[in-house]
Amino acid sequence: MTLYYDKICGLCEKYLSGGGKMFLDRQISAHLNKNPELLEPTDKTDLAKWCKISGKLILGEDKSQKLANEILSS
Amino acid sequence: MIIVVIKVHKLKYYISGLTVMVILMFLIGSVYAQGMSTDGTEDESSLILYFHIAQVIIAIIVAKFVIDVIEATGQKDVFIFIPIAMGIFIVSAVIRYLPHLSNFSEADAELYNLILNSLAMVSMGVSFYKWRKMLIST
Repeated sequence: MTLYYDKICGLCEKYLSGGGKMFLDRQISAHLNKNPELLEPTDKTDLAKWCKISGKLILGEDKSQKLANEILSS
Repeated sequence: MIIVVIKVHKLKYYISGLTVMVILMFLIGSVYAQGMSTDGTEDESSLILYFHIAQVIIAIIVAKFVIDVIEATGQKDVFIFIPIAMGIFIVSAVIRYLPHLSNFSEADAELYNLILNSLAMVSMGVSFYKWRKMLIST
């Protein structure tokens, strides 16, 4: 796994304890259509967008927005 | 605890919508049953049938929504118990209507219905507990 992936995974875990990795893997493989290992900093705009959309379903709007912002500023 | 989680995640809108649907289906069933009966009184078995059709439809809608959430977020471990509970509700609705279709006793149907509904509630409780536990860190 890349350093960048680990960093984003840490962010997701902060919001979804125990489920952050599964959540991130799902966003990368289903929405960015790539292997989670191949996540790059250039994907962060799309990743933040999808984390916000999907995160809203289980985290609520405020927290998913915060997560998206943290991904964008990472 | 469940109410707090629902409020936090604005699921209250879904729950309210579903409650309104149950009431509407029940009312429609009631009006239809009155129209169908020869003496103008409510036909009890038709009422029960329509109520359980409403239960089945709502269970399918909720299960579909939660499966979509699982697909979008990958949180199978947390939310899988809700579609399971909805499946149990469907079986329970079918069992509850059995005495009107066969020689199945009313008392047995009530008992199985109660047991299955309790199981479904526990199953949903497990999901809500896991969900809350997952979110507690934030």
